[in-house]
Amino acid sequence: MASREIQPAGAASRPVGLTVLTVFTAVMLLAATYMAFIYAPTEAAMGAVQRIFYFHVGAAWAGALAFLVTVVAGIAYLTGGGRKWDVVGHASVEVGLALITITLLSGPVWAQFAWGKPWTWDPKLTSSAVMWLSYAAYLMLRAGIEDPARRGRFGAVYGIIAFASVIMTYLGVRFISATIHPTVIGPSASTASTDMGMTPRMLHAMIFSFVTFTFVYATLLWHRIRLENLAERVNALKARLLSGS
Amino acid sequence: MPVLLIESATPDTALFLLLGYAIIGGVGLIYVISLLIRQHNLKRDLEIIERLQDDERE
Repeated sequence: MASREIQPAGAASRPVGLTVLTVFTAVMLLAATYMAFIYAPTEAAMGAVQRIFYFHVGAAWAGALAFLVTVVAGIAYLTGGGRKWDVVGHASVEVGLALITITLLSGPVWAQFAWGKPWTWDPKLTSSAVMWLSYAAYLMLRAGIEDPARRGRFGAVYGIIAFASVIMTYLGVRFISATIHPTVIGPSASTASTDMGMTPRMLHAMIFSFVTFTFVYATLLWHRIRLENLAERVNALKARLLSGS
Repeated sequence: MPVLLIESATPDTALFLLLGYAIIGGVGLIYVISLLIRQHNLKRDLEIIERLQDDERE
């Protein structure tokens, strides 16, 4: 890797754009909470617990987007795009994993009421768990490789292959198997425990949540990329200090 | 009367809702705090390294 100019600590002040984006995302989150709790009407059959879906689905969407970005970054890295794409892919997986954790932990609260138990080995839920494990393994794989170039190559290839679990979770399960999990976009399977037929206000809240979580993802990704760049700089300085140059 | 019937049929699931959003907020907060802690530690490392470099120059 080409040697890089090492900057002093003070040179890494936060860009104005990131500050604006962070504040805007916080406002969007407050507005999305208002939409979910007050603007959207209470669902007649499930009551208030249905409101979990607005953030549960929003986080699921943003998580899938994060893993798609990792695929794009992986392809860019493998085709010679440079180290920055490895940083983007890695950061995106970590943020995506946090978002999917929100989805996986909030879903069982709704399921406890709707199904009488927090978890079933339904195809949709099982493939979601496999997806989470696949990306947790991505982080472990990277942590186990010392050489940055090798880590980047392995991470890029793994990030592309692991996306199969995302396709299976969001699309594949719909077509190949019966599931009790309701579908938000498109009609639910005949085996689903409930249909997600939404009133216009519910739909507005859901769309707003999708947009909000897209901003949440973008904001966290930017912060995480900056953190990775800071870690690289510290490691480079440590190496220089130890070598005595 | 039909309106009353619909209202009484809607279950009270507010506790589930609060638990769900507590989990959502909790996971989000833990992740943001982990980012802040890592950033704080790296900045501290950077300051120490720079101090060591200054000492070497002197």
